[in-house]
Amino acid sequence: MRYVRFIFSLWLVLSVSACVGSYNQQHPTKDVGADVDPTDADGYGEPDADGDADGYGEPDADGDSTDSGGDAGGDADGGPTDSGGDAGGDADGYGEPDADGDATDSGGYGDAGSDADGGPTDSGGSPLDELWPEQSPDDMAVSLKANLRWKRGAILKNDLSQALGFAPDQSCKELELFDCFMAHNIPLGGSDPFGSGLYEPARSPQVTTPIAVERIIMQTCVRRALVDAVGPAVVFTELDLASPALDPTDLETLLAVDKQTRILYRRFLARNPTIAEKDLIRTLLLSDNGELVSATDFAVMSCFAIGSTTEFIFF
Amino acid sequence: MRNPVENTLSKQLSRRSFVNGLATIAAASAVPGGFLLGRGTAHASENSSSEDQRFLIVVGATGGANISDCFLPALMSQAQSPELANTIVNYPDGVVVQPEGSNIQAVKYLGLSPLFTSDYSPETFVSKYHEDMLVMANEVTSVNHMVAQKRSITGNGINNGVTLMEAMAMRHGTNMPLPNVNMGVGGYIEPGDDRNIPDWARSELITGPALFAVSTHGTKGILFRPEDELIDRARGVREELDTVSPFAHTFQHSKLRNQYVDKRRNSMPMLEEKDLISLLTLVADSPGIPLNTFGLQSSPQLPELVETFPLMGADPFQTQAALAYLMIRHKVSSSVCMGLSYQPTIISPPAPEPPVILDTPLAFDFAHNDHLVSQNVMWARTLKVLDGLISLLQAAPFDPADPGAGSFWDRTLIYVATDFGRSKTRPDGSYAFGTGHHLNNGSLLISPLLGGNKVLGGIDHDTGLTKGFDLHSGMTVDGPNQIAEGHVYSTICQALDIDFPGIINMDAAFS
Repeated sequence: MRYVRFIFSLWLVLSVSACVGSYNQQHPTKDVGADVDPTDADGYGEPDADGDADGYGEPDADGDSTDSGGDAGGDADGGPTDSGGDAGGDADGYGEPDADGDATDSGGYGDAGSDADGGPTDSGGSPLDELWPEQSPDDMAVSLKANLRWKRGAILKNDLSQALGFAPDQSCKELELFDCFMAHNIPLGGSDPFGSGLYEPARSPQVTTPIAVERIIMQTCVRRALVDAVGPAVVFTELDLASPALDPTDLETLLAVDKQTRILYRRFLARNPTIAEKDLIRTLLLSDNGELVSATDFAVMSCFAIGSTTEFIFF
Repeated sequence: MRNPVENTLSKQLSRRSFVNGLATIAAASAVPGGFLLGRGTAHASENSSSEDQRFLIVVGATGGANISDCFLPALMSQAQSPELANTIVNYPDGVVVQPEGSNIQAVKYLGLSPLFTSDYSPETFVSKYHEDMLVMANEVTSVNHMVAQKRSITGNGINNGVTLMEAMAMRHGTNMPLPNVNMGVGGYIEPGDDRNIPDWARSELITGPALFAVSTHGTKGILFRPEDELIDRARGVREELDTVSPFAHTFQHSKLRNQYVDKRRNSMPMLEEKDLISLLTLVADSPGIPLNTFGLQSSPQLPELVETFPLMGADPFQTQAALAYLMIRHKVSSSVCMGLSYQPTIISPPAPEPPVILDTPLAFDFAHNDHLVSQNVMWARTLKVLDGLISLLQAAPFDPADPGAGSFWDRTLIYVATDFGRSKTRPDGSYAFGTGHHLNNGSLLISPLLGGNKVLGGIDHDTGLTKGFDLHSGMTVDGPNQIAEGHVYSTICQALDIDFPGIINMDAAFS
C-alpha cells in the first residue's frame, strides 16, 4: 500500500511538472528572464553587473544565507530579508499571488517571473523558467488565417477605460465637451442607423480611424498622468511624475521605467513586454536632440506608444 | 471612323487598363505597404494632373425627388382634356416659368404650407445656372429606397458595381488625402460591390461635418500633450513596437491590420501635413467652444461660408455643403457626397420667434403624405444650398497663380441623385394628395463640363411619364423611357474623363 501511494505521488508530481512546462513553452513571452535587470543588455541572462552569474537565479553569488528559496530570478542583492513566497502587495485586485511581492505592482496578473532589482521583497518565480529563455518573435508561428477582429468603439472604450483606470465615460472628451467615442463613432467602426441610416458600419478601418484612435489614446494617457501626478497614482506608480527629467544612465530610473513599462503592458495587453519592447520604451527617455524627458512626458509617451499599437486595437 | 470622343475613350481605356493591371499585380504581391504601392506608384501614372483635375459632388435628394415637379413638369393645359388633366400630377401654366435664355422650365416655389416653407424658388436657380444644367429623363429599376439609392450611384452595376465616387477617387483622387468623402444617408453611403476597389478609394464616412476637422489630426487640440517632437518620437517607437512584437509577427498576414497600419503610416501624415484641422473647422471660437484654448482655429474661409450658409452648424445640409466646398477648395477630395436626411431640421430661434422647419419629414418621401408640398419645398431647399455651393466654387480660382486654370466650378460636376420618381396620378381635381414610388423619373446634372441648358427627353402631359431620348441626337423618343441608371452613370463618367468597359457613349449630353 505504501508502495502504491509512493507511485501515485510520483506520478502526480511528474504530471504537474509536465503541465507547467507545457504552459511555459506555449507562453514564451511570459516573464522568464531577469526581466527588469537594467544591466542585462539582452535579457537572456548572460553574466551581468549585478553579480548573478547568469541571471536565472541559481544560488546567489553573494553568499546570502537568508535567501530561502523561491527566488528563481537572479536576485543578486543579498538582502537579508529576501525570502520565498509571495509577500503580498497584490494591488491589482485580482487576488492572484503576486510573485514578485512588489507592493507597487498595480498592473498585475501574477508575475510568474522574477525580479532582478534586488529589492527587499524580491522573491517568487519558478525554477522551470530558466529552461525556457525568451524566444525571439521570429521563432514563433505565423498565423496563416490571421483572422483578427477590429476592436470597435464600444469595446475600445471599455478596454481603454479599464486599462487606465477610468470610468468609461470619463476617459476622453474632445475639446473637453464631446464624448470622444461619440465624436469619432464612425471612424471607430460604429453605426448610425437613426442619423445617416448607416445600418452596417464600415467593414474596415477608415483613413481617419488611426487618427481617432491616437486622439483617444493620447487624451486618456494625458488625463491619467495628470490625475496620477496629484496622486494617489493608479497607473504610473513607478515614476515620480514631478520629476523634470528622467536620467537614463541611472540604474534606479531604468528599473522604475522597466517596471512601469511592464505595468502598462499588463494593463493594455495583458502580458509582459519582451526585452526588445522594453528596450524600445527606454528610448523614450531621451528626445531626438538627446535631451532628458520629464517623467510626465515619458509617462504619456510610453502610454501612448503602447496603447496605440495594433495589439490593443485588434484581437 | 470614330468620333473624337470615342478616340479619346479608346486611348484612355488601353492606358488605364494597363495601369490597372499593374495595380492588381502590386496588390497581389501582398507585401506590407502594398496598399501604398497601389496608390503611390501603380496609380501614379493616371493621377490627375492639375490640368485635367475634376471634382464630383453627389447630392442625395433622399426619398424620391420627382423631376416632373420641378424641371420637367406636365402642364395642365397640354393634356388632352380637362378631365384627364385633373387626374395627373401636373401644374397650371402660371406656376411654371422658363427664364430668358433658358431651355429649361421650373415650377416656382408655391408656398402651399404655412408649416413647411422656403425662401427660395427654383426659378432663381434656373435663371442663374441654366447654362450648366442638364435634365435627363430616365427610368430607374427599383422603388425600394435603399436599393434605388445605391443603384443611382452605381449606375445599376454598369461598372462592375463601382460607385461613381469610387471611380472618381481612382481617376482624380490618387494624390488626395481623402479622395472620397461621403456625408450622405442610406444607400448613398453604401460601398460599391467591386471587391477589387483599393481600400483608399472607398468612401470616408462623415456624420458630423462641423467638427470633422478634429478627425484629421492625431494630437493637435489636445491640452497638456507632450511637444510635437516627443509625440513624433513616441509614434516612431510605436511603429517599431508594431514591428517587433510577437503579435505583429503572428498576425503579419492580417489584411485588416495591414490596412490599418497602411493608413496610419501613409494616409494619416498626408492629412496632418495639410493641416486640415486648421482649414476645415466650421465653428467659430466662442465661450461655448473655445477653439483658441485648445490651440485650434476656425477655417480661414469661415466668414464667406457663414455669409453663404447662415444656418451652418444648425442645419446639417448647409454644414455639409460648407465642408464639401472646403474639401474641394483645399484639394482634399475629388469626390464629395452630401445629402438630405430623413430627419427634418428644426431651427429654434430665440423666443418669441417660432421654430422653423427647414425640410419636410422623410425629405422628398413626405410625398406619401402631401406630394405637392414636399416636392416643392424640398426642391427649393436643395437648390438653395446648391446655389450657395456653386457660387462659392465659381469664386474660388483653381490656381491663383494661373488665371487660365479657371475656377473650381469649371472642373466640377454636381449630380443630384435620387431614389426614384413618384406616382403620376392624383385623386380627381385634388391639390392635396399623396403619391407612391414610381420608376419613371429624371436626373439633374449641373456642370460647365456638360453640354448644358438642355433637357434630354420629355414629358407626356397625358400620363405624367417622362420620355427617353436618342443617345446621339438627343431627340425625344416616344414610348417607354429606355434611359436607365447606367446612362446617367456613363454621362457623368464621360464628363469627368472616367473610362470603364461598357461605358455608354452619351454624345447627346455634350453636343
